[in-house]
Amino acid sequence: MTSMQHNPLRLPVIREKLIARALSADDGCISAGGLAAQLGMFRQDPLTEEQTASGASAASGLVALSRLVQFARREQRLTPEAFASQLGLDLNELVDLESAGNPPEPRVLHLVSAGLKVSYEKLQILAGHRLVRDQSLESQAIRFAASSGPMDKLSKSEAEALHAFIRALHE
Amino acid sequence: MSSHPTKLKRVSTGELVDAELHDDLPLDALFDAEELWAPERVRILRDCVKRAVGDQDIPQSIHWNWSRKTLDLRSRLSGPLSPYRLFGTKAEGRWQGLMVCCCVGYLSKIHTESRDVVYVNLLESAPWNWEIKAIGRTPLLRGIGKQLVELAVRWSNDLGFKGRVGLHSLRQSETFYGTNCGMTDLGLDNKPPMRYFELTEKAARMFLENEP
Repeated sequence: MTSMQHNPLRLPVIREKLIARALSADDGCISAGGLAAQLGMFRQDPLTEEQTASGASAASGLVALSRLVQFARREQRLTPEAFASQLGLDLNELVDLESAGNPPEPRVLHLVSAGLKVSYEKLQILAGHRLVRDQSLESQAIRFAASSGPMDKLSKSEAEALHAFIRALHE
Repeated sequence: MSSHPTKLKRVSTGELVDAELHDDLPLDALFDAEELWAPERVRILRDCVKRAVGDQDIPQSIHWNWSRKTLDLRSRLSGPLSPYRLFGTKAEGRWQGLMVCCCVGYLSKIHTESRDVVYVNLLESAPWNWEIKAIGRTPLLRGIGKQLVELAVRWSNDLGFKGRVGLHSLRQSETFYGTNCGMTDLGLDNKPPMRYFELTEKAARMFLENEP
């Protein structure tokens, strides 16, 4: 195999200061590599700080998801049984979703995404299945999760919050 | 293959060690490197497992294999017009660090208008130069990282990119790029899921000690 023969780099004859700074730098960990990820060689930490942060936002994501489903059901004035049937879910799956208990499995998210016509990928982020930092979605989810408590009929502000969040999930 | 004399430092004694910076390596260098690096990776991993070191403290590139990377790089390193370029640091007859860069298709994420950067696709030092506190390992030689980044900055200058360099850092290396190299941390990217760092034009001038 031959050299690639790019034009040689020109380095100054005197590099003492640069060398001194290089030698004083703590370079015991210097691995970098977007290509490693492309080649499937990127090993993600079991729990990085970002993931911890995502874990914290996943909690509000689950609440937002539960309210999304609950509001959507109430907007249609359907019983949990009827709404579960409409989405193709078991009743206990719908109850789990509405109670923000455990992160729903991807199949459940997929059915919700199809039934409510919202982005499956964004539902995955809300449920904590995808560790992607989406600050816009996070703030929308927190705002939605913090909106007023449940009532029999959606109030005007709840309906507005619901539709604003559905729009955010479409984008 | 052009090379430039330089120095590294033996951490245990502080003595200076003669070394060479290479700025246009052939793929063969990756095989030469990994022949020596792979057994060291095994030794490190064995130490880590024996001492029940947690996953988060095991070097994140422990499983890398530069010889396998030739399969991907052979189609990219296609001659003098290739946008890819392979760099390395050699001392005491063996490769102490390697770096692959690309100069096409990567734009600055700091500037709103399109400005090219030299992107560091891969960079790693030889496993014997890693510091692994969990198993009490200190690096053998120091000075590899910044001098490899210096080569990327110089290539960027040669190309008219004014020293702009970008890369995705593994978590354990973020301090090195942010603090030691003066690169700007632009946060976590989606693809790849690593933090992106960029050396600005101003930071590049400072990096090179304000060379004319």
